[in-house]
Amino acid sequence: MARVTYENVTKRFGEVTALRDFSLQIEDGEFVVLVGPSGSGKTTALRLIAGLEALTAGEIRVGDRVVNRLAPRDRDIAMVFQDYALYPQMTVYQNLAFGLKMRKMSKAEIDRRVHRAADMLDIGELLQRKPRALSGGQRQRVALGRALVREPQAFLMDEPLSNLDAKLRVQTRSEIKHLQKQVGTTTVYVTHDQVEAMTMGDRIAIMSEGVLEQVGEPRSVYEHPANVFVAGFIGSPAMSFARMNTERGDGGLVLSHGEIRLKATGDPGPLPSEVIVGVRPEHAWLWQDGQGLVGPLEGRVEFAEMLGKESMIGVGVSDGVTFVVHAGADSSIMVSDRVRFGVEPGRLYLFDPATDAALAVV
Amino acid sequence: MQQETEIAAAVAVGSRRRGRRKPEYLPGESRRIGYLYVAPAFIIYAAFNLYQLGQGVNISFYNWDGLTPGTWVGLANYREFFTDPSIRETYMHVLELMVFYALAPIAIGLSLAVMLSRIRIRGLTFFRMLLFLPMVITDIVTAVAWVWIYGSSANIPGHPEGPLNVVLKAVGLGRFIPTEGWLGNFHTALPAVGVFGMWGGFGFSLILFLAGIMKIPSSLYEAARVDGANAWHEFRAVTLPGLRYELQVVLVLSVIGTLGTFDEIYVLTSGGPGTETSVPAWQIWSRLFNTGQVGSAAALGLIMMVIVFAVTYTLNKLLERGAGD
Amino acid sequence: MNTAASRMQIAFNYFLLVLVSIVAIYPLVGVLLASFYPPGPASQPTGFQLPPTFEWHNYVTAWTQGHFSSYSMTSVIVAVVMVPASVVLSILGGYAFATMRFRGANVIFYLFILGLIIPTEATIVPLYEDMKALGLLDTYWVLIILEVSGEVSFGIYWMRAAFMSAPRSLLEAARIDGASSWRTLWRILVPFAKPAILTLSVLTFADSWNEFFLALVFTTSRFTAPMGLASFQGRYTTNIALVSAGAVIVALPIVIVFIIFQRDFIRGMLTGAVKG
Repeated sequence: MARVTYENVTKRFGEVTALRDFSLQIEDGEFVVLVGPSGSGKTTALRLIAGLEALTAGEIRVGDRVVNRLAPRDRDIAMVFQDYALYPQMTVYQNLAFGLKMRKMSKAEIDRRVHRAADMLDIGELLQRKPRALSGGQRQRVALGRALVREPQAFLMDEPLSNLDAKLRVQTRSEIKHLQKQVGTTTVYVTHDQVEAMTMGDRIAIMSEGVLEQVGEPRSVYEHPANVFVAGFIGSPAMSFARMNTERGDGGLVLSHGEIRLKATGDPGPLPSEVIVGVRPEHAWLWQDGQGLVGPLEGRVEFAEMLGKESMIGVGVSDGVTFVVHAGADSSIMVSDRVRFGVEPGRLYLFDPATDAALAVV
Repeated sequence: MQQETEIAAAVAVGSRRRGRRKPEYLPGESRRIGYLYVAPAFIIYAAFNLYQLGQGVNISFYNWDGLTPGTWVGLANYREFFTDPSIRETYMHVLELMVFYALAPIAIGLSLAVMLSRIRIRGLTFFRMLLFLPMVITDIVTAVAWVWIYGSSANIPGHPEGPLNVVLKAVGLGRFIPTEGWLGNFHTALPAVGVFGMWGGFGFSLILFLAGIMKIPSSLYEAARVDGANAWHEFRAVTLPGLRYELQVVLVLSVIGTLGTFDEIYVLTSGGPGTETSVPAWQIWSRLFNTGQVGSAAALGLIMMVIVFAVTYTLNKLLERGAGD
Repeated sequence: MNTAASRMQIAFNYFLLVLVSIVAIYPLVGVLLASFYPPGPASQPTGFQLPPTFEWHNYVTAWTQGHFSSYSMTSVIVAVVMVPASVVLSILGGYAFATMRFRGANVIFYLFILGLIIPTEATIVPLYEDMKALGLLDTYWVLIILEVSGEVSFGIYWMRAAFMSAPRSLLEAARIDGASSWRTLWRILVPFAKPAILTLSVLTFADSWNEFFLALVFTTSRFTAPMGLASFQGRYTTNIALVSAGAVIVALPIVIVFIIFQRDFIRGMLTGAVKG
């Protein structure tokens, strides 16, 4: 069983706490993505599994074995570095074989594994070249290959795609996912790019400032964010937020701010007098009667971004409150126009202003 | 050359901040193996360098000729620094030599570098090689070359005239040649050594400054020119500040290097005539081997070390402050 | 660099450059030419004309009767042992300081740095007495040992800087791959730092070959090349041609090494000095 488990792991660097009481269980064969902005502790968490840092408190288990005190080489893990870390003076073959040689594997076995990995990654022709003669994408594959040949209990990947150009990144993303499904090795993958996380992870773990904010399948994290941070981090363009007061009236919940009044669908039960309301741009549309939208809200256009098949329009509704709204590609909205928009029913996310925690969706 | 480069390196290290944390060990990392790797170098270094510092202090408290048992004299050898004029004299000489060994090469190298930096130089590698040769070739060899240059038939019949005298005579300035020769005359001996040092150091200084100027972004010069600066202003506002680091390095290297002058003294003048060209290192060697003042030599050696420390420290403090930002 | 220079300016600059280059090498060329003059005080190498004939036998005389063959041999033996020893010790020490954690590492490192400022003159007196007691006077070993102990401070400082410039991830990959510290050093870091090691070796060789003070103090018959030249010059003050031949013999190895490795040499002298 190649589970990877974090149990109440804390990591302090001097006075700075990089990881705080972090607990997470990664199942055998799972592809889990640790995602968050820089400083969130995701890279630290990864390096702790590898043994490149020592933890301050808690336990880490690889395959049911506590590895806290073990040297990296004894943890049966393999790592893919952001800068690939290929040994510059060795050929690709030697790079791939190095870890196996250190483990005193037989020449035949080394050869078999290296060629198998080279075939899987389509780098068979590059085996005699040195890293400096390779392109960025090729180097990245060699870095992957180095991890593959080790056949470890877990793969650790530290932002392996961030040094590639955008097009290559998209292509390689699916290749890595496909590869992982093929070999079935438990994988912990770190990235700051939420799109990468959403498309690659079986589950994603969103982190911020050393704390695990939420973990779950991409779909569920998207539809049911646990707090403001997750809601704002996942999804692009990001969710719009506004503070609003809650009232009871008109036979239901009314959200108000200044002159705005929104009648919500559904009744979520008791709420604080003030809430943070979140709306995803993809759920906010320019107003059209008869669409069953919640609203209308009215405001002045602050910016308009034409994205090809659609436009994103920033509407300033009142002092400092801006909602990003969807529009078709043919919309001729301009800055300073006054527009009206509405929200799909059941897409108003309510959060507690004191704790940022999710309260309800109406 | 070795000593000077080493000192510059030491200075750079010392001026970094010191961390005083207990090391945090990584999982599976050996806590002892570092010692093993450092041991061979440290043992040799400590046994033949550090240990001798302590020994030297001990010896310096004695009057000793190196053969018969010595007598304890406490700090007498150190007090000599203030009472014996010949000791202070060596440092005066070194101070005078610094004009030739440090200031002159810097001035010459700087002016030449400024002039030469205006064009792109083809074949710079070749010229660089030529200009570095004086510093690279063994001091003894270059000193021997200058013995030939200063050669004079004046006091030794049949001794060939060196090229310097040949030229002077040819342009009618022969009367300025001292009768004892440049290296034998009380007034010209030290400057003659100085000229040797000036020749030895200007190439290095020139190349260093040239490289430094090349690193100054031309946008700074353009901005200065737009502001209406002439050549002199450009020099003061852009070039000089841009060369701050190189200036510091050459100054420290050459000043400290001058303190340790020895090889050329041995070949050119043997400290003479009289004691006109005696320098601290020469005196130490002389007291060790010629006059049997071993205790004094040890004391002088330690004094020299303290002076080197102090000069290095002061120079760096002064230069750091002058640097400002 | 600056605005386009006029042709006059360019010509002037090259003229200047050639001029200073001539100044730099004139004494050396002069000695080279002088070495071909017939020996004896009668001929006077003036430095402005080619020798009347090209007499090679000055070199033969210097080499045999002048003992420069044995002087050069001594210098070679010392260098051949000292340079690898010093460089290897520096690699080991520099590696430890660059990549390992151990108690007191800082203190030990600063002790080495101290060695950069301790002048030879400060320790020469006790060293002489020690070597006398050990019976090592006038041997190859005394020079080898003292040059190594004098060189490791700089060498360790240099190699530590070189190793610290390696990307951290490279070392981490090696740790994960299971390489021991020894393997990591020799299979990964040393190949990475080859230019730095070459520069260090070249500089160390130059320091060894050019070393005079130590040879003067510790040898009475087993002279190194510079020591031999100094004493030779003292004996044959008027025989310029002969002395010049000796000087050229002593200078030749270092000049050749410099010409071949000048890029590393100069880079070492400039960055070792400037970058600190």
